[in-house]
Amino acid sequence: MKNLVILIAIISFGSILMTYQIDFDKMAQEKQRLKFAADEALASASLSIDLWEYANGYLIYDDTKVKNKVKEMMNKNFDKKIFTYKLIISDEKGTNRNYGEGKQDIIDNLSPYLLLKINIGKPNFRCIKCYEDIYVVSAYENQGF
Amino acid sequence: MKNLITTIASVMIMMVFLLQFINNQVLHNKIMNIDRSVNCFKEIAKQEGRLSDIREEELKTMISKYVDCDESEIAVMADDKVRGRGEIINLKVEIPLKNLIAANEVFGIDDDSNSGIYCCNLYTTSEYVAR
Repeated sequence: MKNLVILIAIISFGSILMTYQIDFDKMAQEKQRLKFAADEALASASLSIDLWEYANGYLIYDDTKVKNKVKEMMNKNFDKKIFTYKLIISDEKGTNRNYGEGKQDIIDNLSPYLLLKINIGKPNFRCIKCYEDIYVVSAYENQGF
Repeated sequence: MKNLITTIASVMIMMVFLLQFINNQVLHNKIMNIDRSVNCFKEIAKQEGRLSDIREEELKTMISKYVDCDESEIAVMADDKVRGRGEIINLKVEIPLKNLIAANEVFGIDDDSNSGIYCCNLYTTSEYVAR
């Protein structure tokens, strides 16, 4: 009986430890992929500029195209389909435009830029409870082409 | 004597977990490195409009350094067509991962079954301007 208890204890301990490890590894991979996907989404979205204004010497983003491109690239490159985003568009129009939910500070010392904060909610840990959301912030400074 | 046998058996069971723990960490590092490498070459494809054969070889060499496999086992699926600015490029890489379970002989799993294929499928928008 004593041996059985020890055996069960060893197996339970090992299993819990391994579950904990796999969950954390998964979260680390997810974070890295999310960062890559967010960077890519912004880089792709930054191509959507108003060419007529560009010909006149102003760099102005097409807001609708930028938003659609961000969503399209995020859906293509990231597995999790449920996320909230905050998009800040700052260009030579004079005003910053905010889209989406959440709070994010703007950056003062950049030239025309796009800023994206993506939040995918809490990680799915099986052994412990996590109170922190997973999110990344990406910025893309456009210096023209 | 009975205690000795029980202890040896317990240590052996513990060793299985320990080995798998180490193996998981090694696998995790491999996957993180593969993701980073593929993302790096995705950026190159973005600038050049496609992933040329030379770049494909470079990518394979880079991945085979991290993963214990031959370059010929890695499959890179990329379009040969050069994509212009604004067009979407797809880069798909399949890498065989071996030795997923550390003590596979203990559980009666043979080496062939103890492997899997990791697939990395990325999309990017080309910034290549043909001029």
